[in-house]
Amino acid sequence: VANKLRDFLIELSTNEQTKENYRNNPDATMTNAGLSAQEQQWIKDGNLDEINNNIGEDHTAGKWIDISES
Amino acid sequence: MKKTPPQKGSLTIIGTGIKLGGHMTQESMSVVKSADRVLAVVAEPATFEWLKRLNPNIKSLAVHYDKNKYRHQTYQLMVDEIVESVENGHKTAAVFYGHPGVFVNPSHKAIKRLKDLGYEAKMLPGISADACLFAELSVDPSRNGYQAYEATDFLLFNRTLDSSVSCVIWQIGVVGKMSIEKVEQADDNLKVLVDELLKYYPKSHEVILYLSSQFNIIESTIKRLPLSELPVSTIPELSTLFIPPAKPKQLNLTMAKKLNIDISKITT
Repeated sequence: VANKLRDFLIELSTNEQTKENYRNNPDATMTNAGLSAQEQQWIKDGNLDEINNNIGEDHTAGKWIDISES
Repeated sequence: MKKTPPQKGSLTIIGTGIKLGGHMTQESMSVVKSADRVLAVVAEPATFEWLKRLNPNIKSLAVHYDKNKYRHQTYQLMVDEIVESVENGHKTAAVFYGHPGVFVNPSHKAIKRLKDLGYEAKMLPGISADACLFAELSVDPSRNGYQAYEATDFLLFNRTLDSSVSCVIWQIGVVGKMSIEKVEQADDNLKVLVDELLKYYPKSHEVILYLSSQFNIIESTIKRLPLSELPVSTIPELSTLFIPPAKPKQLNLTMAKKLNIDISKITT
């Protein structure tokens, strides 16, 4: 399933040109990537909860030690 | 006619590091790309999607998480799935968030089981949260030493601290929590932890709440506060607590003499 916010974050992490564009003009880079005003605001605010809740299916772990087995 | 021998599976355990797309080593990336099957549990969905682009033959192990299961049951199911993949002849990459051997139960267990069965199984290192902490807080663990405990483990097993040594307490956002349910705010368990820490540090001692960001455009959380204020703070569940030393390290003159060390050349 397409997800522009997720794809933008991947591009920013793996594509030097996108990184450079973002450094020079974050608003235009996010708009060109098709991000909504709300998504752009989450990134500006560093709102990890909203970002993580809106980038697709959860494949994540509660990465906690199981001390019951210690 | 010559028979083709059955393909023998193998396992390599990989860590994604903390930051999406940036922390996985070249060696690990190569293993993921060339694997027959990739089984993964990662920190957020974008990393899963990125791995999928490296190798489309990927499956999430997070399907085994369930609020109604104990964590050890979940881990067992993950181990079973990894082992089954290898037994079926697949060159398998199992991918975990951060360092795959730090706070990851199924990785160690899968390797042990497969080695016992005669399969090739190994782990490659990844970047863990404490590696990020050392970098972002400019902490050199060789300078004052380094002690680290998981928060609940620290309380349950009568661990002791040396307040002249840097200290990391992992998972303070979920202290005393044994399920996988999310924790939204500070609770009494955090106060229990702080009461224990106050046996070693003054109330006013500055501590640092640290949470490394998964994305390169978002700053990591670095919050400095007095130890006494910790119980009333909102703690992200994967936060790490860093406690700088509260007293200087003590030079042992007798030992310096035994080692023939000129103490005028020692910086403390």
